[in-house]
Amino acid sequence: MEDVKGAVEAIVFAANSPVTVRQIRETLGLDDPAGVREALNALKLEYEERDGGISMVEVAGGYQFRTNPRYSEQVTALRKSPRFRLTRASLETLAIVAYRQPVTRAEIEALRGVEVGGVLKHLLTKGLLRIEGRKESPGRPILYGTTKKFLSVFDLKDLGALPPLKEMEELDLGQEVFEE
Amino acid sequence: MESSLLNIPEESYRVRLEVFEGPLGLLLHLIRKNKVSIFDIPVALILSQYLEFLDLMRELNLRIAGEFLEMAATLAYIKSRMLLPRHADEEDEEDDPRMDLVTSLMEYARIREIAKELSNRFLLERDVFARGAPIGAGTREDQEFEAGLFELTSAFVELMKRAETAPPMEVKMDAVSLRRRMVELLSQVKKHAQSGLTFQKLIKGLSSRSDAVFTFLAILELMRLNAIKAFQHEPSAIIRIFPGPRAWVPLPLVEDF
Repeated sequence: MEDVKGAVEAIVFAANSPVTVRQIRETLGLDDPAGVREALNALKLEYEERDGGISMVEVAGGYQFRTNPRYSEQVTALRKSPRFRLTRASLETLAIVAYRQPVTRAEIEALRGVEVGGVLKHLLTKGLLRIEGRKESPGRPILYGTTKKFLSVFDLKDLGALPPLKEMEELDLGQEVFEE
Repeated sequence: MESSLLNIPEESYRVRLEVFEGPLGLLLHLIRKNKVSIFDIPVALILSQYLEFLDLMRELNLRIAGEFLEMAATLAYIKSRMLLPRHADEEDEEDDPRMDLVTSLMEYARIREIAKELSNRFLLERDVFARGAPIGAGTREDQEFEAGLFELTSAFVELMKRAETAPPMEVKMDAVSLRRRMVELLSQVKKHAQSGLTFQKLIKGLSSRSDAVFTFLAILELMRLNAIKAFQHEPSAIIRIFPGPRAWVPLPLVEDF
Protein backbone atom coordinates (compact mmCIF):
# COMPACT_ATOMS: atom_id res chain seq x y z
CA MET A 1 0.00 0.00 0.00
CA GLU A 2 2.71 2.51 1.00
CA ASP A 3 4.51 1.75 -2.23
CA VAL A 4 1.39 2.38 -4.33
CA LYS A 5 0.67 5.56 -2.41
CA GLY A 6 4.16 6.93 -3.06
CA ALA A 7 3.91 6.07 -6.74
CA VAL A 8 0.49 7.66 -7.06
CA GLU A 9 1.74 10.83 -5.37
CA ALA A 10 4.72 10.97 -7.72
CA ILE A 11 2.51 10.56 -10.80
CA VAL A 12 0.06 13.26 -9.76
CA PHE A 13 2.96 15.58 -8.94
CA ALA A 14 4.73 15.00 -12.25
CA ALA A 15 1.68 15.33 -14.50
CA ASN A 16 0.94 18.68 -16.08
CA SER A 17 -2.85 18.26 -15.99
CA PRO A 18 -5.34 16.44 -13.76
CA VAL A 19 -4.66 12.66 -13.88
CA THR A 20 -7.51 10.18 -13.86
CA VAL A 21 -7.71 7.00 -11.77
CA ARG A 22 -7.57 5.04 -14.98
CA GLN A 23 -4.39 6.77 -16.19
CA ILE A 24 -2.71 6.05 -12.87
CA ARG A 25 -3.87 2.44 -12.83
CA GLU A 26 -2.61 1.85 -16.36
CA THR A 27 0.70 3.59 -15.66
CA LEU A 28 1.28 1.39 -12.64
CA GLY A 29 0.10 -1.74 -14.47
CA LEU A 30 -2.56 -2.49 -11.89
CA ASP A 31 -5.78 -4.33 -12.67
CA ASP A 32 -7.83 -3.10 -9.79
CA PRO A 33 -8.66 0.61 -9.50
CA ALA A 34 -9.64 0.19 -5.85
CA GLY A 35 -6.03 0.39 -4.65
CA VAL A 36 -5.42 3.57 -6.63
CA ARG A 37 -8.59 5.15 -5.25
CA GLU A 38 -7.64 4.20 -1.74
CA ALA A 39 -4.19 5.74 -2.18
CA LEU A 40 -5.65 8.93 -3.65
CA ASN A 41 -8.10 9.32 -0.79
CA ALA A 42 -5.39 8.75 1.77
CA LEU A 43 -3.16 11.33 0.09
CA LYS A 44 -5.95 13.87 -0.13
CA LEU A 45 -6.58 13.48 3.56
CA GLU A 46 -2.90 13.75 4.44
CA TYR A 47 -2.54 17.05 2.60
CA GLU A 48 -5.76 18.31 4.12
CA GLU A 49 -4.59 17.48 7.63
CA ARG A 50 -1.20 18.99 7.05
CA ASP A 51 -2.89 22.23 5.90
CA GLY A 52 0.27 23.54 4.30
CA GLY A 53 0.92 25.30 1.03
CA ILE A 54 -0.35 22.50 -1.21
CA SER A 55 -3.55 20.55 -1.49
CA MET A 56 -4.61 17.67 -3.69
CA VAL A 57 -7.87 18.41 -5.46
CA GLU A 58 -10.26 16.27 -7.41
CA VAL A 59 -11.03 18.29 -10.48
CA ALA A 60 -12.24 17.77 -14.07
CA GLY A 61 -12.45 14.00 -13.57
CA GLY A 62 -8.88 13.69 -12.25
CA TYR A 63 -6.49 14.62 -9.48
CA GLN A 64 -4.07 17.53 -9.32
CA PHE A 65 -1.85 19.34 -6.85
CA ARG A 66 -2.81 22.95 -6.39
CA THR A 67 -1.64 25.70 -4.08
CA ASN A 68 -3.60 26.59 -0.99
CA PRO A 69 -5.92 29.54 -1.75
CA ARG A 70 -4.57 31.18 1.40
CA TYR A 71 -1.37 31.94 -0.47
CA SER A 72 -2.88 33.22 -3.71
CA GLU A 73 -1.36 36.65 -3.23
CA GLN A 74 2.13 35.31 -2.68
CA VAL A 75 1.95 33.03 -5.69
CA THR A 76 0.54 35.81 -7.83
CA ALA A 77 3.53 37.94 -6.86
CA LEU A 78 5.80 35.19 -8.19
CA ARG A 79 4.18 34.98 -11.56
CA LYS A 80 4.78 36.94 -14.71
CA SER A 81 1.26 36.74 -16.05
CA PRO A 82 -1.54 38.90 -14.67
CA ARG A 83 -4.07 37.26 -12.44
CA PHE A 84 -6.82 35.41 -14.26
CA ARG A 85 -10.00 37.41 -14.40
CA LEU A 86 -13.37 36.97 -16.02
CA THR A 87 -15.73 39.79 -16.82
CA ARG A 88 -19.30 39.76 -15.63
CA ALA A 89 -20.46 39.11 -19.20
CA SER A 90 -18.22 36.03 -19.42
CA LEU A 91 -19.31 34.70 -16.03
CA GLU A 92 -22.99 35.13 -16.81
CA THR A 93 -22.62 33.43 -20.17
CA LEU A 94 -20.68 30.54 -18.62
CA ALA A 95 -23.34 30.20 -15.90
CA ILE A 96 -26.08 29.87 -18.52
CA VAL A 97 -24.17 27.38 -20.65
CA ALA A 98 -23.11 25.30 -17.64
CA TYR A 99 -26.66 24.73 -16.49
CA ARG A 100 -28.49 24.61 -19.81
CA GLN A 101 -26.08 22.89 -22.15
CA PRO A 102 -26.26 22.18 -24.97
CA VAL A 103 -27.62 25.63 -25.61
CA THR A 104 -27.88 27.96 -28.61
CA ARG A 105 -26.73 31.52 -28.83
CA ALA A 106 -30.35 32.73 -29.16
CA GLU A 107 -31.28 30.96 -25.94
CA ILE A 108 -28.40 32.61 -24.08
CA GLU A 109 -29.31 36.00 -25.50
CA ALA A 110 -32.93 35.61 -24.43
CA LEU A 111 -31.81 35.09 -20.84
CA ARG A 112 -29.17 37.79 -20.72
CA GLY A 113 -31.18 40.25 -22.79
CA VAL A 114 -28.08 41.22 -24.72
CA GLU A 115 -26.07 40.15 -27.72
CA VAL A 116 -23.41 37.56 -26.80
CA GLY A 117 -21.53 36.85 -30.05
CA GLY A 118 -18.29 38.48 -28.89
CA VAL A 119 -18.36 36.85 -25.47
CA LEU A 120 -18.97 33.39 -26.99
CA LYS A 121 -16.04 33.83 -29.34
CA HIS A 122 -13.83 34.89 -26.44
CA LEU A 123 -14.85 31.90 -24.32
CA LEU A 124 -14.32 29.50 -27.25
CA THR A 125 -10.83 30.92 -27.76
CA LYS A 126 -10.12 30.58 -24.04
CA GLY A 127 -11.14 26.93 -24.28
CA LEU A 128 -13.85 27.28 -21.65
CA LEU A 129 -16.65 26.55 -24.13
CA ARG A 130 -16.88 24.33 -27.16
CA ILE A 131 -19.25 23.69 -30.02
CA GLU A 132 -21.31 20.59 -29.29
CA GLY A 133 -23.04 20.34 -32.66
CA ARG A 134 -26.12 21.77 -34.24
CA LYS A 135 -29.68 21.85 -33.07
CA GLU A 136 -32.19 20.00 -35.23
CA SER A 137 -34.44 22.99 -35.67
CA PRO A 138 -34.90 25.63 -38.38
CA GLY A 139 -31.59 27.21 -39.27
CA ARG A 140 -29.75 24.41 -37.43
CA PRO A 141 -28.18 26.79 -34.88
CA ILE A 142 -24.87 25.92 -33.20
CA LEU A 143 -25.07 24.33 -29.75
CA TYR A 144 -22.56 25.33 -27.08
CA GLY A 145 -21.33 23.39 -24.08
CA THR A 146 -18.63 23.67 -21.42
CA THR A 147 -15.23 21.99 -21.66
CA LYS A 148 -13.01 20.00 -19.34
CA LYS A 149 -10.97 23.16 -18.91
CA PHE A 150 -14.07 24.89 -17.58
CA LEU A 151 -14.32 22.23 -14.86
CA SER A 152 -10.62 22.55 -14.14
CA VAL A 153 -10.65 26.34 -13.90
CA PHE A 154 -13.75 26.42 -11.70
CA ASP A 155 -12.53 23.71 -9.35
CA LEU A 156 -15.33 21.28 -10.26
CA LYS A 157 -15.06 17.50 -10.10
CA ASP A 158 -17.73 17.17 -12.79
CA LEU A 159 -20.86 19.01 -13.90
CA GLY A 160 -22.78 17.39 -11.05
CA ALA A 161 -20.62 19.40 -8.66
CA LEU A 162 -22.11 22.69 -9.86
CA PRO A 163 -23.88 24.57 -7.09
CA PRO A 164 -27.54 23.47 -7.04
CA LEU A 165 -29.96 25.71 -8.88
CA LYS A 166 -32.20 27.60 -6.56
CA GLU A 167 -35.88 27.62 -7.28
CA MET A 168 -37.41 31.00 -7.92
CA GLU A 169 -39.08 30.89 -4.54
CA GLU A 170 -35.81 30.25 -2.78
CA LEU A 171 -34.12 33.15 -4.48
CA ASP A 172 -33.27 35.74 -1.95
CA LEU A 173 -34.63 38.83 -3.59
CA GLY A 174 -33.25 41.13 -0.98
CA GLN A 175 -30.51 43.54 -1.88
CA GLU A 176 -27.74 41.01 -1.82
CA VAL A 177 -28.88 39.30 -5.02
CA PHE A 178 -28.16 42.50 -6.84
CA GLU A 179 -25.01 43.43 -4.97
CA GLU A 180 -22.66 42.31 -7.70
CA MET B 1 -31.83 65.68 -15.94
CA GLU B 2 -31.46 68.99 -17.72
CA SER B 3 -30.20 68.49 -21.21
CA SER B 4 -27.49 71.10 -20.76
CA LEU B 5 -25.68 68.94 -18.24
CA LEU B 6 -23.07 68.01 -20.77
CA ASN B 7 -22.93 70.22 -23.74
CA ILE B 8 -21.48 68.11 -26.48
CA PRO B 9 -22.09 69.24 -30.04
CA GLU B 10 -24.07 66.95 -32.25
CA GLU B 11 -21.46 66.17 -34.89
CA SER B 12 -18.58 65.54 -32.55
CA TYR B 13 -16.70 62.32 -32.43
CA ARG B 14 -18.81 59.32 -31.61
CA VAL B 15 -17.37 56.87 -29.13
CA ARG B 16 -18.02 53.34 -30.19
CA LEU B 17 -18.28 51.74 -26.82
CA GLU B 18 -19.35 48.15 -26.65
CA VAL B 19 -22.11 48.10 -24.13
CA PHE B 20 -21.00 45.28 -21.96
CA GLU B 21 -24.13 45.09 -19.87
CA GLY B 22 -27.63 44.90 -21.20
CA PRO B 23 -30.98 46.48 -20.37
CA LEU B 24 -31.77 43.87 -17.70
CA GLY B 25 -28.57 44.83 -15.90
CA LEU B 26 -29.57 48.47 -16.07
CA LEU B 27 -33.05 47.69 -14.72
CA LEU B 28 -31.65 45.69 -11.80
CA HIS B 29 -29.26 48.56 -11.15
CA LEU B 30 -32.18 51.01 -10.99
CA ILE B 31 -34.34 48.71 -8.86
CA ARG B 32 -31.48 48.33 -6.40
CA LYS B 33 -30.69 52.03 -6.42
CA ASN B 34 -34.30 52.95 -5.64
CA LYS B 35 -34.62 50.13 -3.10
CA VAL B 36 -37.94 49.01 -4.58
CA SER B 37 -39.37 45.51 -4.76
CA ILE B 38 -38.92 43.49 -7.91
CA PHE B 39 -42.51 42.26 -7.49
CA ASP B 40 -43.97 45.73 -7.37
CA ILE B 41 -41.86 47.80 -9.72
CA PRO B 42 -42.94 51.43 -9.89
CA VAL B 43 -42.83 51.38 -13.68
CA ALA B 44 -43.30 55.11 -14.23
CA LEU B 45 -40.39 55.97 -11.93
CA ILE B 46 -38.10 53.28 -13.30
CA LEU B 47 -38.99 54.18 -16.88
CA SER B 48 -38.16 57.84 -16.38
CA GLN B 49 -34.80 56.97 -14.82
CA TYR B 50 -34.14 54.43 -17.52
CA LEU B 51 -34.77 57.06 -20.19
CA GLU B 52 -32.56 59.52 -18.32
CA PHE B 53 -29.79 56.97 -18.55
CA LEU B 54 -30.32 56.52 -22.28
CA ASP B 55 -30.31 60.29 -22.73
CA LEU B 56 -27.06 60.51 -20.89
CA MET B 57 -25.53 57.76 -22.98
CA ARG B 58 -26.73 59.60 -26.06
CA GLU B 59 -25.29 62.88 -24.80
CA LEU B 60 -21.99 61.16 -24.25
CA ASN B 61 -22.29 59.89 -27.79
CA LEU B 62 -22.16 56.31 -26.64
CA ARG B 63 -23.61 53.87 -29.06
CA ILE B 64 -26.84 52.55 -27.65
CA ALA B 65 -27.55 48.97 -28.55
CA GLY B 66 -30.96 48.13 -29.97
CA GLU B 67 -31.82 46.01 -26.92
CA PHE B 68 -31.91 49.14 -24.77
CA LEU B 69 -34.45 50.83 -27.01
CA GLU B 70 -36.53 47.69 -27.18
CA MET B 71 -36.67 47.55 -23.39
CA ALA B 72 -37.64 51.23 -23.22
CA ALA B 73 -40.55 50.48 -25.55
CA THR B 74 -41.58 47.50 -23.39
CA LEU B 75 -41.51 49.65 -20.25
CA ALA B 76 -43.56 52.37 -21.92
CA TYR B 77 -46.10 49.77 -23.02
CA ILE B 78 -46.37 48.33 -19.51
CA LYS B 79 -46.76 51.79 -18.08
CA SER B 80 -49.62 52.58 -20.45
CA ARG B 81 -51.33 49.28 -19.71
CA MET B 82 -51.13 49.96 -16.01
CA LEU B 83 -53.03 53.17 -16.51
CA LEU B 84 -55.97 51.28 -17.97
CA PRO B 85 -58.72 50.43 -15.51
CA ARG B 86 -58.68 46.77 -14.62
CA HIS B 87 -61.72 44.56 -14.51
CA ALA B 88 -62.77 43.81 -10.98
CA ASP B 89 -63.19 40.10 -11.68
CA GLU B 90 -59.64 39.57 -12.92
CA GLU B 91 -57.57 41.58 -10.58
CA ASP B 92 -55.38 38.61 -9.69
CA GLU B 93 -51.66 38.67 -10.38
CA GLU B 94 -52.09 36.96 -13.76
CA ASP B 95 -53.37 40.22 -15.07
CA ASP B 96 -50.41 42.29 -13.97
CA PRO B 97 -48.81 43.70 -17.14
CA ARG B 98 -45.46 43.55 -15.36
CA MET B 99 -45.51 39.74 -15.10
CA ASP B 100 -43.29 38.91 -18.09
CA LEU B 101 -40.78 41.56 -17.15
CA VAL B 102 -40.61 40.30 -13.56
CA THR B 103 -40.01 36.77 -14.85
CA SER B 104 -37.16 37.92 -17.10
CA LEU B 105 -35.65 39.99 -14.33
CA MET B 106 -35.80 37.10 -11.88
CA GLU B 107 -34.29 34.69 -14.40
CA TYR B 108 -31.54 37.21 -14.96
CA ALA B 109 -31.06 37.81 -11.23
CA ARG B 110 -30.71 34.05 -10.82
CA ILE B 111 -28.05 33.92 -13.53
CA ARG B 112 -26.22 36.74 -11.82
CA GLU B 113 -26.31 34.82 -8.58
CA ILE B 114 -24.92 31.69 -10.22
CA ALA B 115 -22.25 33.79 -11.92
CA LYS B 116 -21.33 35.17 -8.51
CA GLU B 117 -21.20 31.68 -6.99
CA LEU B 118 -18.96 30.50 -9.80
CA SER B 119 -16.72 33.49 -9.27
CA ASN B 120 -16.53 32.75 -5.54
CA ARG B 121 -15.00 29.32 -6.15
CA PHE B 122 -11.26 28.76 -5.92
CA LEU B 123 -10.42 29.65 -9.49
CA LEU B 124 -7.35 28.24 -11.13
CA GLU B 125 -4.78 30.94 -11.91
CA ARG B 126 -6.59 33.39 -9.65
CA ASP B 127 -6.89 31.78 -6.20
CA VAL B 128 -5.09 28.50 -6.66
CA PHE B 129 -2.27 27.50 -8.93
CA ALA B 130 -1.07 24.29 -10.45
CA ARG B 131 2.62 23.66 -10.95
CA GLY B 132 4.67 25.46 -13.56
CA ALA B 133 4.33 29.16 -12.84
CA PRO B 134 6.69 31.28 -14.92
CA ILE B 135 8.64 33.38 -12.43
CA GLY B 136 8.61 37.14 -12.75
CA ALA B 137 7.12 40.32 -11.37
CA GLY B 138 3.45 39.85 -10.70
CA THR B 139 0.54 42.23 -10.80
CA ARG B 140 -1.53 42.87 -7.75
CA GLU B 141 -5.28 42.97 -7.77
CA ASP B 142 -7.45 42.35 -4.78
CA GLN B 143 -10.93 41.04 -4.37
CA GLU B 144 -12.70 43.97 -5.88
CA PHE B 145 -15.14 43.48 -8.66
CA GLU B 146 -14.90 45.03 -12.01
CA ALA B 147 -16.83 48.24 -12.38
CA GLY B 148 -18.93 48.30 -15.52
CA LEU B 149 -20.45 51.00 -17.62
CA PHE B 150 -23.32 51.74 -15.23
CA GLU B 151 -21.14 52.14 -12.18
CA LEU B 152 -18.79 54.48 -14.01
CA THR B 153 -21.57 56.50 -15.58
CA SER B 154 -23.46 56.80 -12.29
CA ALA B 155 -20.33 58.01 -10.54
CA PHE B 156 -19.66 60.44 -13.35
CA VAL B 157 -23.18 61.89 -13.26
CA GLU B 158 -22.92 62.39 -9.49
CA LEU B 159 -19.68 64.27 -9.92
CA MET B 160 -21.08 66.41 -12.70
CA LYS B 161 -24.17 67.30 -10.71
CA ARG B 162 -22.13 68.36 -7.74
CA ALA B 163 -19.57 70.32 -9.69
CA GLU B 164 -20.39 74.01 -9.65
CA THR B 165 -18.34 74.98 -12.60
CA ALA B 166 -18.70 77.74 -15.13
CA PRO B 167 -21.54 77.49 -17.64
CA PRO B 168 -20.92 74.71 -20.08
CA MET B 169 -18.90 75.62 -23.08
CA GLU B 170 -18.75 73.99 -26.44
CA VAL B 171 -16.47 71.02 -26.44
CA LYS B 172 -14.38 70.66 -29.50
CA MET B 173 -13.91 66.99 -29.75
CA ASP B 174 -12.36 64.94 -32.48
CA ALA B 175 -10.71 61.59 -32.74
CA VAL B 176 -7.19 63.03 -32.68
CA SER B 177 -7.60 64.96 -29.45
CA LEU B 178 -9.43 62.04 -27.87
CA ARG B 179 -6.55 59.77 -28.73
CA ARG B 180 -4.11 62.28 -27.23
CA ARG B 181 -6.12 62.32 -24.02
CA MET B 182 -6.15 58.52 -23.99
CA VAL B 183 -2.37 58.38 -24.31
CA GLU B 184 -1.90 60.88 -21.45
CA LEU B 185 -4.37 59.07 -19.26
CA LEU B 186 -2.86 55.67 -19.91
CA SER B 187 0.60 56.80 -18.92
CA GLN B 188 -0.87 58.33 -15.75
CA VAL B 189 -2.60 55.04 -14.93
CA LYS B 190 0.58 53.08 -15.57
CA LYS B 191 2.47 55.35 -13.17
CA HIS B 192 -0.04 54.43 -10.46
CA ALA B 193 -0.17 50.76 -11.37
CA GLN B 194 0.26 49.63 -7.75
CA SER B 195 -2.42 51.58 -5.90
CA GLY B 196 -4.61 52.50 -8.84
CA LEU B 197 -5.87 55.89 -9.90
CA THR B 198 -9.08 57.06 -8.26
CA PHE B 199 -11.78 57.83 -10.78
CA GLN B 200 -13.51 60.40 -8.59
CA LYS B 201 -10.29 62.28 -7.83
CA LEU B 202 -9.27 62.16 -11.44
CA ILE B 203 -12.48 63.79 -12.64
CA LYS B 204 -12.64 66.32 -9.78
CA GLY B 205 -9.10 67.44 -10.42
CA LEU B 206 -10.00 68.71 -13.87
CA SER B 207 -10.58 72.41 -14.34
CA SER B 208 -13.43 72.42 -16.83
CA ARG B 209 -16.49 70.38 -17.53
CA SER B 210 -15.40 69.68 -21.06
CA ASP B 211 -12.13 68.29 -19.72
CA ALA B 212 -14.13 66.01 -17.45
CA VAL B 213 -16.34 64.75 -20.26
CA PHE B 214 -13.33 64.21 -22.42
CA THR B 215 -11.50 62.28 -19.75
CA PHE B 216 -14.57 60.18 -19.08
CA LEU B 217 -14.83 59.24 -22.75
CA ALA B 218 -11.13 58.44 -22.83
CA ILE B 219 -11.62 56.12 -19.85
CA LEU B 220 -14.47 54.31 -21.57
CA GLU B 221 -12.45 53.90 -24.76
CA LEU B 222 -9.43 52.60 -22.87
CA MET B 223 -11.67 50.13 -21.04
CA ARG B 224 -13.06 48.92 -24.32
CA LEU B 225 -9.53 48.38 -25.60
CA ASN B 226 -8.67 46.47 -22.41
CA ALA B 227 -5.85 48.95 -21.74
CA ILE B 228 -7.32 49.82 -18.36
CA LYS B 229 -9.64 48.15 -15.89
CA ALA B 230 -11.84 49.75 -13.28
CA PHE B 231 -12.50 48.13 -9.91
CA GLN B 232 -14.80 48.88 -7.03
CA HIS B 233 -15.24 47.28 -3.61
CA GLU B 234 -19.00 47.67 -3.56
CA PRO B 235 -21.59 49.59 -5.52
CA SER B 236 -21.23 53.35 -5.04
CA ALA B 237 -17.77 52.99 -3.52
CA ILE B 238 -14.65 54.61 -4.88
CA ILE B 239 -13.71 53.36 -8.32
CA ARG B 240 -10.04 52.74 -8.94
CA ILE B 241 -8.41 52.40 -12.31
CA PHE B 242 -5.56 49.99 -13.02
CA PRO B 243 -3.63 49.05 -16.14
CA GLY B 244 -5.41 46.30 -18.05
CA PRO B 245 -4.00 43.31 -19.95
CA ARG B 246 -3.35 45.48 -23.01
CA ALA B 247 -1.89 48.50 -21.20
CA TRP B 248 1.56 48.04 -22.66
CA VAL B 249 0.43 47.43 -26.21
CA PRO B 250 0.57 50.56 -28.40
CA LEU B 251 -2.86 52.15 -28.75
CA PRO B 252 -4.46 51.65 -32.14
CA LEU B 253 -4.28 54.55 -34.54
CA VAL B 254 -7.20 56.89 -34.86
CA GLU B 255 -8.48 55.19 -38.01
CA ASP B 256 -8.75 51.91 -36.16
CA PHE B 257 -11.21 53.18 -33.59
